[in-house]
Amino acid sequence: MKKGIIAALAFIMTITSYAQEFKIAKSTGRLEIKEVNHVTVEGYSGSEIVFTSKNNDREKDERAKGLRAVSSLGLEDNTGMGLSVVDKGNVIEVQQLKKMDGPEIIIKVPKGVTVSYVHSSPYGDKVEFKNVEGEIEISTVHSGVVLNNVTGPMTVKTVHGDIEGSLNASMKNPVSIVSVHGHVDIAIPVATKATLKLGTVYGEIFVDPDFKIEIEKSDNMVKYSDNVAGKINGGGLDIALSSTHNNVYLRKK
Amino acid sequence: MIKSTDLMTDEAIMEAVKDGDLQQMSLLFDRYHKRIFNFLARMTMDRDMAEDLTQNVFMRMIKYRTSYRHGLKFQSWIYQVSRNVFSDHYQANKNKSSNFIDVEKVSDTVADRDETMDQDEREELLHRSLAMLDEEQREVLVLTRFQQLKYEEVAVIMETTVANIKVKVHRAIGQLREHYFELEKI
Amino acid sequence: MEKEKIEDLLIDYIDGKLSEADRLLVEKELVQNEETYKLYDQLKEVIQLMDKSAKLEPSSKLKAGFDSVLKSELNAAKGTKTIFFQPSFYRVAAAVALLIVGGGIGFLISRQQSNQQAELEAMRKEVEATKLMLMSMLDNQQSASQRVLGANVAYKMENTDDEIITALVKAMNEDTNSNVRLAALDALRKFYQQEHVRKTLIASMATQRDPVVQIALIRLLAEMKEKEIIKELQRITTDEEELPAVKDEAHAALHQLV
Repeated sequence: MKKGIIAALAFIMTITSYAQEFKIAKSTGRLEIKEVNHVTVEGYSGSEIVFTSKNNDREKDERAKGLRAVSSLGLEDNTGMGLSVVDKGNVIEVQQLKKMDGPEIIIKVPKGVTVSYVHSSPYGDKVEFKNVEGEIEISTVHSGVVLNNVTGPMTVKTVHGDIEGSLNASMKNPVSIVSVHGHVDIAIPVATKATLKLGTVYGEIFVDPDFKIEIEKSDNMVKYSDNVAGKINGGGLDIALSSTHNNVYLRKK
Repeated sequence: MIKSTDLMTDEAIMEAVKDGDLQQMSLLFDRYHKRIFNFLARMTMDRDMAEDLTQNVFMRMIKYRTSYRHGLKFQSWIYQVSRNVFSDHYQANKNKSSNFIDVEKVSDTVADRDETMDQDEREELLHRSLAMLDEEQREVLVLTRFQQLKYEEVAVIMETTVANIKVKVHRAIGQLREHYFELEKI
Repeated sequence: MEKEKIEDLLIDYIDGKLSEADRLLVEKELVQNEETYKLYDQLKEVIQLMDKSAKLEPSSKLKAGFDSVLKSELNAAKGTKTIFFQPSFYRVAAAVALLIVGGGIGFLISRQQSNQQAELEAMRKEVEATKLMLMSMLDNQQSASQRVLGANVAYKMENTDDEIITALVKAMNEDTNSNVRLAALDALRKFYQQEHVRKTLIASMATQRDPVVQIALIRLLAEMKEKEIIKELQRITTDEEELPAVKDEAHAALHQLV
């Protein structure tokens, strides 16, 4: 296994790195991931943002040795993984160079970092967020979303992708998860104190019977979709789940 | 002479308390303290403890007055708070002694009335049997049969369905009968 | 019949809750079956004991105890403001709750004329504080979640003013985050009766490009029978750029309106 050596000589502009890991010492601020096709974001207790790539084809391409990958958008691969990671002060921008496919990236984020994932092409995989304790913003067109034991607060939206996952007991306000064509399937602890807004226009809403929802009576409010609005356990967090054309599932964790 | 305060509903008085007029709580105390004391006395089988806990109930209602939901029936709320106070007390003390209820104190609990000896004895048996039930069964019996609340209301207070309450009450009465007639034999 | 079923019937019989038919059934059983009769007798005894059980009397210590509790709470309340929650979100929720209750308890306040002015002033200050908090949340560029929260606070308010409406409309039209836009739309539809809100929502149809919001907006306006949007709907159905889901919605809306 080739060990990565990062040689940085101030007067030589070309830097070749075979490292499979790239770190940025940042534990707050925003991490904006744009159009990266295969990503898993994992929360952890460290104080750096760590990028690892699962596969590393780069090493195999002899022809590319000594050269740095660039893309038409002016992006440069400064991580050795086909990713461009640029520190813009309070915001770290992450993009991949290839338009289709691309490297499989795992990003470990500290608690205090807000993660934003934006994706619009049809070439992306499901994006997974695991054990993330900071704020989450996801907006995709085709890609599905998997949320595993996340805390939030969060705003998640897809047009076609399905959104599935579980939120943990210490979840933060608000939780807003919306899709046009995908289904929304979320599990929360039964004891969660929340004001729920579950909505669908053409789909159906399914709720685990262990949730006792006090349905809110909407007096003269305009209804434009099938809505279940009410409190569980007296209310508290604002949790809004909705899918226009597909179903909403609320499960117990 | 009717006082203007006689015309005010429990809910209206509680809203006033919530709004900052704490003095109004004494009106609600006057109206409810006996009921709550009775409930807690039969749950704990200990008069002194029941007095302490009743005081806790009113204190909690003052302290957490802002959590009184507009439109909630006051009676339901005060019973909910009372249940919580009892439950907290029970949780804190259940490990301390193997028998949560002090059987000695039970006889003190029974009302001192000018009844025949026989009646008194039977009441004591009843209370000892009641003490042998598990907390939830005792609770549902005290609320429906001693406090004489309707099933619908108890369902709200215990956050479950009327059908559920009915089943619990029936099972509890069945158990109570068993304990009572076992004790009677002794 | 198993024991539990019999017990159920007997208890209801003792309480007088059985139908005529069931009553006869039970009485027949009681006559025929000695075991059942014994059970009935025992159940009756415990039930009657419970029903006759006297009310317990608390000692005078209880009232005394309560009076001292009340006194200390009164003193505690004098020293601090009535809202004592931290962090800021709960303060907002408390202020909003106060707002919502405010309408209903007006007649109670009138009992204490001298306090009325002070209380109303305090309430007005809380509303102002809520509004400031709401506006700053909506403005938070760092966090879409905070902006959603700001819209949610507006949604929970009983009344609103032009400044808040403008901020919500701005969020609905321009925010980069769809969830924020939806939350803003939810808040705005509560105040639909206001002319200004209506007009802005209608105008927004032309500029919305976010399919999630477009669909919600089309449905809302169609529900409200806003014929003014017909032209815009027609444009959408023929526009190549629009998502099929949005076009379908526009079609459905046209059916409702035309």
